Amino acid sequence: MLGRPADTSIRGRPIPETAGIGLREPHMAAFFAGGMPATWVEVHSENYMVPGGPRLANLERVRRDRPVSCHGVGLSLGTAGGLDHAHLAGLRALFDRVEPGLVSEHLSWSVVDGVYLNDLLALAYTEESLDLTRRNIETAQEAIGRPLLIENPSSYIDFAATEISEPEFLTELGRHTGCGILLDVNNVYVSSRNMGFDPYRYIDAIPAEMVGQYHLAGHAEVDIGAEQMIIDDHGSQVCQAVWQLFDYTLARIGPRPTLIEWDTRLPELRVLLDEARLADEALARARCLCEVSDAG
Amino acid sequence: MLAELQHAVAVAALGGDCQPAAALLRPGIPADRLAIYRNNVLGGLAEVLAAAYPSVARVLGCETFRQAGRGFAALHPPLAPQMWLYGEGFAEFLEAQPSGRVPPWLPDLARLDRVMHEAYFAHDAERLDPGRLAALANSSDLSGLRLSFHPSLRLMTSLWPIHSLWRAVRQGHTSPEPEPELAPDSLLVARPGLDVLCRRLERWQAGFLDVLLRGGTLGEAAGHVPAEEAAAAVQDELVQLLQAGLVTGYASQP
Repeated sequence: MLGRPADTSIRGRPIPETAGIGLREPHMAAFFAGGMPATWVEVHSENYMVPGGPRLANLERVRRDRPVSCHGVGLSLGTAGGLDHAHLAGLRALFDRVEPGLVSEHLSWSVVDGVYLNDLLALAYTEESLDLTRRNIETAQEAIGRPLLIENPSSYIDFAATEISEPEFLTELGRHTGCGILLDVNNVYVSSRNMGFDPYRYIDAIPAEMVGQYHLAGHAEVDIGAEQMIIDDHGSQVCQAVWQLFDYTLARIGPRPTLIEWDTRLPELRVLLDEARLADEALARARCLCEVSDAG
Repeated sequence: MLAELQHAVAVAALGGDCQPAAALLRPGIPADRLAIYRNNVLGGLAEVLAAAYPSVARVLGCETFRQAGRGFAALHPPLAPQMWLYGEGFAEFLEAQPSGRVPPWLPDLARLDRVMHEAYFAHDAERLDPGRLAALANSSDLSGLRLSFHPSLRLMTSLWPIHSLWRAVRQGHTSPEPEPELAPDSLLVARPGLDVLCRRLERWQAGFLDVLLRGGTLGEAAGHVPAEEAAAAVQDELVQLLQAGLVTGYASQP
């Protein structure tokens, strides 16, 4: 039986269980000219934490016609030094204005000693970091007045101190804080190649009822030292192996809002829309399976 | 324990010593992999800087700008997660480069890029209807009036002919030769609507605006206008500011 998604619906316009696109500033003109050709969009929260100007005006225009999801990259939920309360207040103000249908962040950290590193750095999965991240998520959800979806990161390294597996870590966070999981299927694949685990077993270990959204993106193969590594650069189409893993994920967990992300070497908007169409086809196939299994 | 681990990884990610972070990795994980984070952080910040300093990026070219950006980022990492805020101090960083490495006017071009970048993200404000001031002018003397301006409005001065250099770079000349100019170049930068405008000012116009921006009255500001054409010049200047949507209100009390 497929699990139902976590109750992460909030006061904004709900995000449908279709494919949306990550909307970036260089695509805005084409997006408006094309009649906003996506059922929903996701933006990076921090890019819109600005006093005024065309960026905010664009977002105001989009949100009048399309459901918007806000995806954060700067909260640093795994940070040992505690959360930035001014940043939380800024996020709250943005969300009250935009009324996003979903709000998400990452299982990672990026702030140390007041310095912000613009990357999603690897957390050591220990009892200490679980306790700390749990408290940070509780603080964040309280401050922004909304539940969070937490995204699994792409992994390149692992620490000697590791005590807990990533799916277990995410599950524990969900159990204790009520947050949901944003399952990035490409990240599962990237991590599995870099760290040498079975991505299908990872999907099996994620509680279906906690999953509120999927992310899909492309990655790059890069030589690092003597090895070939997979870098999650959001700079190409979703690869065949990730589409297969996505089909498996949909069959096990069920349809959810699914985002196509593209952040480097941005192609024309239509390339993203083509990817979204493929994701919608996969979602439609999963719905058929779903009906068959419910009837049986 | 977690705090030390994060500190060690941050040092490695900012291009510092990788040894402390490498010692914390699971045995069998090559320390070379820390380079992925270093490339993401420093390379990503160089791209953020290139977007915030487009004229400087054109003059230096991709590869040189990338190196300069990474150098700046390693010394001055961001202090906030809003990347549009990042990059203050890049002009001073360029100024501190050994002489001859960058054109001497490049730091001022960086300052202009920064001022335009700030104007782009500044608060919005409703413009003052020019008719309201015209009606007031018919009934009373305006010399005691103080004006308020669009929050994006900024004045900038340079010892270089920075406006023509900026225009040349925008038109695709990546190594323009500045005509030596003795008088400082004064510029007005603002974003009253969706677009950022950058306009060169005569010296008296800059002085006139500067007084008004500091809260002085129109009468006080008119002191900077050449005597022979004072009345007409003040009126022209006011009309221009109003039509550009740069005036947002007025007060007649001292």
